[in-house]
Amino acid sequence: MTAAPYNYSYIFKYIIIGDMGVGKSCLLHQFTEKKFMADCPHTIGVEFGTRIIEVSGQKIKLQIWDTAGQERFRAVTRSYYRGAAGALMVYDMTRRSTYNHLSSWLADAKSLTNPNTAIFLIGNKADLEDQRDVPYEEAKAFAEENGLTFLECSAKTGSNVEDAFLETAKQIYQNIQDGSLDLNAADTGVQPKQNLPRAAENNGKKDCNC
Amino acid sequence: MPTPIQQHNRKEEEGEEAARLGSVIWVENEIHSIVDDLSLRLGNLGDGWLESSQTSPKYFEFTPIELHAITERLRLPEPTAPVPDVNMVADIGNTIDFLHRVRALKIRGQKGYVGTSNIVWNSLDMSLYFCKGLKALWIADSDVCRINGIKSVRETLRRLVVHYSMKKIKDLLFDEEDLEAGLMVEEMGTWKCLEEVDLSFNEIKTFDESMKLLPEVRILNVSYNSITDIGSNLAFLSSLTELDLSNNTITRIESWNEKLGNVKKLILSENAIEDLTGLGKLYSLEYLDVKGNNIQTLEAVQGIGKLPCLEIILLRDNPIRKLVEYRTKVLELFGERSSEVVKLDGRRPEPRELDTVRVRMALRKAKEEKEERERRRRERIEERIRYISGEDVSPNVSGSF
Repeated sequence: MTAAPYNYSYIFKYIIIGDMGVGKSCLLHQFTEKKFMADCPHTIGVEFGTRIIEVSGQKIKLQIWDTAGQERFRAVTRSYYRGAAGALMVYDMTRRSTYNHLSSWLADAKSLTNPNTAIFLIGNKADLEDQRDVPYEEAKAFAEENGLTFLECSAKTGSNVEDAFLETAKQIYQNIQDGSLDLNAADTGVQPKQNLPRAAENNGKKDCNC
Repeated sequence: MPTPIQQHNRKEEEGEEAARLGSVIWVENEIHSIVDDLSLRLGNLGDGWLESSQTSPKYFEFTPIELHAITERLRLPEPTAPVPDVNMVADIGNTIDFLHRVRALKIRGQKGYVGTSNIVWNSLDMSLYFCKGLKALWIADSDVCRINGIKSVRETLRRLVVHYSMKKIKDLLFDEEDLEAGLMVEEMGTWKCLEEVDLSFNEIKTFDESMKLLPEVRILNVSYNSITDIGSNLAFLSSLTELDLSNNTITRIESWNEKLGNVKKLILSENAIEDLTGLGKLYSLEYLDVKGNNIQTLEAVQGIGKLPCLEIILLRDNPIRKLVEYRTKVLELFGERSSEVVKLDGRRPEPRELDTVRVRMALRKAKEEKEERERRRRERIEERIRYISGEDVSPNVSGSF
């Protein structure tokens, strides 16, 4: 975290969803830390990450909620959908079952987010081409059918990971610009930041100089 | 039928339990307002505070109630922002984001009850799980047993301060998940960046096996606790150079060279130590403070005279000070080194004292040499006698006398 990372115009809330073990936490880690996490433990409840990106010259902070894929956390996971500006729906392209469950994840996402939420489909583990279990064309067709943007990524090599997060942000930003996303509506998942005057820093009550 | 006293006791117990429950119920009701308020505030001010804390480091202070509310709120299957909050300015993401980035955190509880209520301050569990970049943690007037989720803090923390909050060190250093998984201490993750630990003003009695998790700690302050015996676990602090054990109840020092490693600065003031012989092989020692103990004789300090690096020694407020010519006698223990480096009770030896020491040393040397000459002369006489009486035929004894 270096010089003045704090001047941004919006906060976008993202969620990452998908079956257990598809690599959601690794995608988040790759995006926020630019590193691959080899022995990633199962997420309990929820993980969190942020990064500030730039879209069309505007700085935007992404607050990303990485949910647990395990069924037993479904109730908690569902509660994070509301007010998400972007949803990354992840499957593992070497495990067909994770792809087959997408319709259930998508149903959740459609019913629990608002109509403007940008939903992005990610086929993870693209580095394991020889173990591919889901053809690219098939997933592409599924995405088009359901109005999703689609990319195959690798959290391990980092390929396309950046793009998935940035493309989603571009879509959201575009929606704000063309007015299809009304910032005064409820649960848009976008927090506008009126660049606050410096005086706001002096919230003396909580400062402690010891 | 219970006696009035029994009744009274039971009433008190019930009262305590009710107070605990009372606090839990009260906080459960307030979780949302506490967290929403925090999130709103941190959304507005968090970035600015974090930015200014980078140029002038400072602690951000939370109460245990706030941390508890955040922890509990995350367990609830509820949306991240409160319902009528259109722009999500009170989204809990703001709070988590802040915890994620804050570098110095202070948790200040309070003993007893909250205000005039029956709510016990330190009965609330809290998790530090989302603190991913914490360098300094300060805990005061809380109960470390209530602090969980230290797994991420363990990766980044450099400085730890705990006052009035701890009975056993492992209550904080062990991760409850590791314990639940049945891990041995050797299998647990270490506090890999922790260098400075101040646990003064607690109720610590021993250095438990959690010391194995602190391989990088250089400075450890455990003053004002209840330590009688340091045990053998401090030896696991392989980077330790400064140890403050003042104001404890230590009475004996035994082979501390085996228990401490390469400590350079050792503060033992205000204990009940009588003898320093057990420090005699702690060759790394440069600074020794044993003020306010029960050291009475020159023999009790003799061992430290041979420590090759010792430069500063504080012996004030010990009965030994009543010895005639105390300073010169102690200085004399350091032999030749007394003139070079040693500073006793905050004062370098004066030339007059050094003269005394030198004269004494010369006298002693002369005496020793005289004794040695005398001893050799006797030996030769005895050998001669044996030779003459035909018991020995050594060719070396042809000398004259």
